[in-house]
Amino acid sequence: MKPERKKNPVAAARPSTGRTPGDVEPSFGEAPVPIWIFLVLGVLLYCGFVYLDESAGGFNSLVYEPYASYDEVKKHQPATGSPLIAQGREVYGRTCTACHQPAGTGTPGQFPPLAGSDWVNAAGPDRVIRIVLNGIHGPLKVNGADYANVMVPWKDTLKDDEIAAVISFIRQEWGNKASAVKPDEVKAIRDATKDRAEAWTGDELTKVPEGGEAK
Amino acid sequence: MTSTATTAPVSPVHAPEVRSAAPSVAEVEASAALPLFLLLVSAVKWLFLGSFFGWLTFVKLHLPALLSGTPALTYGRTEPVMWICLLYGFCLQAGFGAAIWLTCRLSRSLLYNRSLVILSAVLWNIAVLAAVIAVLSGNSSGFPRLEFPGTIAPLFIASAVLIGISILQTLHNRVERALYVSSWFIFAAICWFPWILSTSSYFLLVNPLRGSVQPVLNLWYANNLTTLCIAPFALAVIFYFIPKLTERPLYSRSLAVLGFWGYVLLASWGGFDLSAGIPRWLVSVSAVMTIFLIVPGLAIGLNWRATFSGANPRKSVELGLIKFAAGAFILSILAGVLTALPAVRNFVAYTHLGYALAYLGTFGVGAAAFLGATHHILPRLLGEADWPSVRLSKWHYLGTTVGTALIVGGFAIAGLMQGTALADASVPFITSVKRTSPGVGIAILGFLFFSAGQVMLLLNISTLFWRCCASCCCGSGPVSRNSEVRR
Amino acid sequence: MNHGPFLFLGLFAAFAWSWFSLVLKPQKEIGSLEPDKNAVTGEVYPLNRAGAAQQGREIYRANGCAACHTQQVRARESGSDMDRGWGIRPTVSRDFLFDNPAMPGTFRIGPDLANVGDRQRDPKWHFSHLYNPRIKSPGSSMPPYPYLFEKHKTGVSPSPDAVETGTYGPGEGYEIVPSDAARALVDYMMSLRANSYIFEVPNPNPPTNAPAADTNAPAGGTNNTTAPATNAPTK
Repeated sequence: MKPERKKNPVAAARPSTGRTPGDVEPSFGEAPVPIWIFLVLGVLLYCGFVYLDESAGGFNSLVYEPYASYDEVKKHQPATGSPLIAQGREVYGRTCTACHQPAGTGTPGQFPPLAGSDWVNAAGPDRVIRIVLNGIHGPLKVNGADYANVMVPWKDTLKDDEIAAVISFIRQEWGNKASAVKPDEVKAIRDATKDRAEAWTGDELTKVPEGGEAK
Repeated sequence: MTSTATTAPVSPVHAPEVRSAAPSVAEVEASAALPLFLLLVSAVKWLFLGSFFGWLTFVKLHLPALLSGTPALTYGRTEPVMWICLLYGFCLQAGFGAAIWLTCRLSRSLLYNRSLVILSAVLWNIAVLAAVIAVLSGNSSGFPRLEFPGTIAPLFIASAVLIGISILQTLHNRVERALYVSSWFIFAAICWFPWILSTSSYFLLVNPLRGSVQPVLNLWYANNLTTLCIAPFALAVIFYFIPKLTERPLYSRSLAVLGFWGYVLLASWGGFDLSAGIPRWLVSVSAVMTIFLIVPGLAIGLNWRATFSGANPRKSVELGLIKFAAGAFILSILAGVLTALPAVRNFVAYTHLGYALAYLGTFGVGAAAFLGATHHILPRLLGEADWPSVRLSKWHYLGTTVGTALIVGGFAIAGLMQGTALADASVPFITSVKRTSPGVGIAILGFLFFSAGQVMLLLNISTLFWRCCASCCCGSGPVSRNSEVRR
Repeated sequence: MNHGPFLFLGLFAAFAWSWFSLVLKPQKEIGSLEPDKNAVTGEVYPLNRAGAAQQGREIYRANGCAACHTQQVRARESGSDMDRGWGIRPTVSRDFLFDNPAMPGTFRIGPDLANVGDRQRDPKWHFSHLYNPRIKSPGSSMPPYPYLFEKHKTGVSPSPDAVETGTYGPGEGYEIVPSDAARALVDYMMSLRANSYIFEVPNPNPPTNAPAADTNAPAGGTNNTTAPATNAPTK
């Protein structure tokens, strides 16, 4: 049978001085919970739910910082319009944004812009293809502004189709209006310049035809 | 639970003698004496070893080439070994020991299945040793707080289950039917630990899930291990000793209920403070739940404070340690809330502040509470009125408290300074390393203090045993056994 | 009344709630992910690492490298990781898909390694750094790993594999070469590349049709304006 709930008789008779007999176990007092704790809880609950509303990604496990919702992730998926331009956008994003910036603006005094650039908008892409393949250094005038910096060569890192894609991309983005580039054109220039080890200079390139004709 | 008639009959070898009256406190404690010695004394030894490994590990941050030619002693192995010694060797083992003593005392019942508990204690220590050897020899699993191979986990689980069964049976046969708050926390911890360890060891070590979900499971385990397995044992100890040492009832049962359920519901969700590689909802929900912990924190803190206010308890080492543990617990709740705020989290992420909070919990709450309980329990089990050397006790107290304060403070300083460098991309990374140097130096000093404190305790324990053995075997020792005096 | 059963039921409910939400739900949602194929480039990511790199991962695990190094890049909103050149996009769960164990790390006593295979492609740099980090990184608190290397007498001419040891060398007439463990570990380092855009973290470069005049404005925001970090170690 269940024993009756007993109060500990020793605890009830607390000694006034000296040590407690060692066999007294702790017991409960009956003070109430102060009401303001529930107010704190209420405020916290409200703030918590507001925060989760905007920062929990809809509890979808495919949503990671910095995206706020699954819809936002889907909205940012690459446009699959022209495969060449879309590929160029991907290559640009992972290769060129460090210096030329995502909006093609470059950095004044340091890296030339691609948006509205006279070099990029040239009738033929041959000079730009050479720049991407072998790099460029020394004084350079872009849109009338002077630059003197180094661009590393990409011929060993990017393949012909990637170079063709990224040049096609920059030649039609940000208001640029110039023709696209085919991988064969890149291959032809790569073969023609395969013995060249150093980067181009601006002066050398101005002597190279813009393209469309034979080199 | 409601009728003893449906309980399976227990073999006479294991069942305590059926009594019509409650056993005396002396009988209760005697029934648990040998298991408690094994658990508590082994735990203190692992604490010393863990703090030594801690000192060794962090000294290497100042002297990287120290012992670097020995593969077993490289930083990446001594650091996990330190955590194994501290969490599994000390905190859990001392927690189980304290839980057994508390359960026997609160239930006024002899310990059930005493020999199984002794077996569990032996198994547990073998498992910790095996885990340490495994990590030192390069067989670490790679998961923080779960660094041992999958073959060792069943030892921990079996040992914990056996101890848990013993505690539950003792509770079931309690004379005092009302359950005190300490028993609630103990119940929670002994149920949860086998659950989380079996889930995590199976799905991370035995039959691993895909790597994409492993960090989530690992963080869940690491957080629940400290907040919902070790901390409840510490809370049980603090809730027991504050009313007992102040000789007053606990201020409010309702606050205790609010504190307990609030803590149990919320604490499990913390720990997902990495913001990368984890789905966003986990990080956000974890932060919110951690901030909600203010409510049970307030409930628990108010309860303790009100129980203390107006009381004039007799000063003792265990009172000092329990007060330190209580303060450290409230501080760790507040620190957890602060570092859960996204702006703060982003600043302190991956810095040494993580160590500061970890040691605030392990040493500040765990070590202080369990050492306080050990300090109270061990002499009683041998019938002694007090420890052999009051001076050693005091030095142990100072070493533990000052050491912990230096460790937590040192890592906090190091972490904050590191954060200032990491937050600014133009500051080279090596600067962040250099900025941690002074803080880490303070922490290293803290580890020395802490280890020294534990040596004091081990010396006191061995003197205690020697006196007890001498008086028993020779019939006369330096101090005769005084079984009448109870503290 | 006996509160035991209520206590048990309440605790079971609380624990089950935690287990279902924090173990079962994530496992269902991200535990069965597959590699993602980029719709534009056709690139499949992630790929399982090559055998040598997998062995290297075991060396990484056995020596507790994750105690000091993270392998996770935070979003720009949360930290300076991307500005430091540690990655071009934040880390997501799928990045660890084929890693067993997944070791995202929790402390940055050393720099993040999520994309170290993109930042530092010179194996000789890695060997020197592993042999004694202070050769390449003065002031580093990373321990040396001499036991991953072998020391032997220099032959007629130095071995092509000899590690450059600066002032920490083995002395006259001796050279240091990497053991198989060191080679495997460096293969693993070189395999740490997560700079592919996948579904959860697509290329943020938005399509624009802004006229040329507006786009010559100075670059705003927090973009990296230092030299591209392809061949130089950004430490």
